[in-house]
Amino acid sequence: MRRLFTGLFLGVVMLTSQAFAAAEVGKPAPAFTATDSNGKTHSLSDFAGKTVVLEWTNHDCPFVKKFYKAGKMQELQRAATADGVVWLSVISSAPGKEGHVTGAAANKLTTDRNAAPAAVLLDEKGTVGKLYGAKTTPHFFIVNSAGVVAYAGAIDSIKSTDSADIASATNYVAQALGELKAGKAVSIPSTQAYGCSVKY
Amino acid sequence: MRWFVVLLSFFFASMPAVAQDPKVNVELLSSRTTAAPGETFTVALRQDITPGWHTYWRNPGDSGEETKLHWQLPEGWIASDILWPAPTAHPIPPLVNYGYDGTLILPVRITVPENAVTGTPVVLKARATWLVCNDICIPESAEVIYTVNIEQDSITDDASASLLADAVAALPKKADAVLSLVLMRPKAELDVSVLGLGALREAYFFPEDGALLDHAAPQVLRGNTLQLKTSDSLPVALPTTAAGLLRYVTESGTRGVVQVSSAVTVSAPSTGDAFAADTSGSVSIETALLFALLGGIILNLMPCVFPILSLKALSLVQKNANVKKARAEGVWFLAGVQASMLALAGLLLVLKAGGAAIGWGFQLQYLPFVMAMTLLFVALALNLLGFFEITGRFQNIGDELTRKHGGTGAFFTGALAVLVATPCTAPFMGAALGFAFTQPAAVTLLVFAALGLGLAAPFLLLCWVPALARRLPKPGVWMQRFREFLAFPMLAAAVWLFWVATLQGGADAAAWLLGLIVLLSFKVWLARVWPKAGIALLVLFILGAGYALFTVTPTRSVSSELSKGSWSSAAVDAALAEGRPVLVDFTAAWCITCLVNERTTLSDDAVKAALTEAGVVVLVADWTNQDALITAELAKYGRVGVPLYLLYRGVPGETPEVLPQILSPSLMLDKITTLGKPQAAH
Repeated sequence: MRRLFTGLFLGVVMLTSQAFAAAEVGKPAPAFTATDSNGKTHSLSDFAGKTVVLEWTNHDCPFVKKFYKAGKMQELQRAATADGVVWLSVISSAPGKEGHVTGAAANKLTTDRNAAPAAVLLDEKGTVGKLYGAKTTPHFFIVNSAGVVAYAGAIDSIKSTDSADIASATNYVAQALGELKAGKAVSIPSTQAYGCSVKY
Repeated sequence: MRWFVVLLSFFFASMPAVAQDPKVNVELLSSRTTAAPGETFTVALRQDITPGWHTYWRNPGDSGEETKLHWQLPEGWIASDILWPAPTAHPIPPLVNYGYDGTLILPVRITVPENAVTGTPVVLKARATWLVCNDICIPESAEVIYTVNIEQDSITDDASASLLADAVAALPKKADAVLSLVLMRPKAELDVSVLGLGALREAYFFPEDGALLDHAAPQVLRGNTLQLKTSDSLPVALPTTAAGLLRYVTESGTRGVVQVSSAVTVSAPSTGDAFAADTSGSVSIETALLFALLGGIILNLMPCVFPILSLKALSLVQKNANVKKARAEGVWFLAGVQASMLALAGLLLVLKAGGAAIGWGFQLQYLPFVMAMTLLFVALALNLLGFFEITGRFQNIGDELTRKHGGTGAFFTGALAVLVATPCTAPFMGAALGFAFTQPAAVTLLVFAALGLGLAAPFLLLCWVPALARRLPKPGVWMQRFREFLAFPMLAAAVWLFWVATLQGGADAAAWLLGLIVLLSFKVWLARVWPKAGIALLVLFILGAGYALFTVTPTRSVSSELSKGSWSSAAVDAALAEGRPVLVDFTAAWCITCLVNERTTLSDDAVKAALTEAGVVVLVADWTNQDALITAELAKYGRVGVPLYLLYRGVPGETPEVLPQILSPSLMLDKITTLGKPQAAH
């Protein structure tokens, strides 16, 4: 009888949590597997023990351009990578929608923009995006070395498309990565993301 | 000629998109051509938005950016914030944006300084920036200018003044009343009744703070309460007030938008663990009802309930009753179960409405109740063993009634079954009942009714289908032996209740209980040899029991196998600050599931070793007696009862993982080994 009850209980828990999995700060990051611009497959579990940054992006979105044109996103990527952080750019634009690219085009964008992500994940079905609840480009999720979502939200504190605002804004991603590196708790673990809608 | 066209097109193509084909044309309008010193007048940014495109409200929703005005005004001039008209919601699944299309007037109040020099024209200048989107987004901006004269007598701009006056008149008015917004992650409820709008047909709340609510979640109106969902990105420090706009349609068809302010309170999550992810009301109600029904059926097998019900079932065999009579008996039994169940639920609702911090299983936190139950179980056991068969009219146990044939007997068997089942319902039905108590009273009662239906179902089935009843073994001597045997599970249950009582009331409770049991036995014996003394002794027994129940005072004690700390939220924070994982064990001495988990899992050598090695701080929240703090913490996780196991990984401020209610060593070891490692969603 106890087994019956345990079975029933666990069954319901599994059913409900699977259907509604989402990246929540303080909870284990949802596991995913995705293909990058070179056709290589990556799973979140491949990076166990490392801090992982997930950057939702769309190269035509003015909010994304704000950071790439100013070279700030590239700067952030290089600084993070130097600290052993795995930086994954994710493109969830559906085919035919703004920001959708082929693997070759994604690689060209990386070269042209002198960007430095560890990989660019092509998520044209929006599976990973919806799993994490990515709403905007840019939208950031930081998974700490324990596999727990340590930050979710905006790149910085000033909601605009103007590169001139970058200097005076608080960069939440840089701040969170700095705190994680120092072994501290992330002081601002959750913010409202701003940007273009993800083109699912 | 052709080279000229090529050159021209090249020239245009190289120009920025905004300059070439702006999606929004803007103009600065003013209600005054001439303004007087010290006066305040209205100007406005007019946006003519290309069809199919939209600009954004102050809270753009899930994406986008609001229109902004960066004023460059002369010294002393003051511009207000934009006075925002009511936006509309633009769904772009899975997101929702708040914005405008068509022609938009964004009014701003301008105050002229007292010392403004008359006769000098003043340039009102602003840089307007906005984001305009259809499927894609384009940031646009423009410099807007209006030159206004300063004279003692102001002059109205005929063309613009009425347009602006209309726009200002159409702005949402401020409501005087303060609403109440309750955040119960993941649900939220906005009570709009104080607005005094009467019955509403539709309502929609636009929050000014974009981080508070899930914009894309459907807003469901139930009476005067709007059911919402909290945002995934709720800030750690929640605001105490939330402003916004409420768009509504009344039952009589009146439409309107009002500017509202609401007091924000944070309450327990609206659902239990098993239902946490499910936010749509109807589905979770069905799930909870199903759970309650199954739970009720399982309750039939509980050591405290089984003897009573199996005897009742056997009585069917003895009587060889006709189908009609048997069915009537089944229905009476169901009525008894339901009456008792609903009375219990009603009592709990009344206590809760009175503000008592109690949860399910609350009755076992009251020492008098535990002691009374112990005595009842002993009495039932003595009866089963055949020491007494009360035939008088003044029995307080209900036993004789339950064995009476026919309607009344069946009704009281049902009522008694619920009473003796309560110690078992508490630990096993935690999740479903936890859900029940966060719902409106009607739903709570419905869940209890389902539990009762489940409890009554097997017996009801036996009564209803004669073929099943005929399958029961033929009556004989074995029935007497079986009945006597059933006294032992009853006594075992009494031992457990006795133990709970001693934990709550210490040696005093033990002495009183044993004394009362002796008195009870004496009464039973005396009734056989000298029946007349029975009544007097019964009165004595009741007096003694009553005195004991109200004089023994609860004491507190915690039994533990592991070296455990006592729970407090400060203790959790302290451990997390050190980066140590924390296991919080919400338990109570009267909770069977808790004890089973304690014995099978938490006391398991391998588990203890693993916990120690992983540096897990184990904190015990003992709910054996009432504790408002623990009740509140349980409520955070949608529980109104124990057990509850929380596992923190050692990250300050994290939301802990809620472990299943029934633990096993393998599950626990699994969880401990994944501490400090990334983990798949589950």
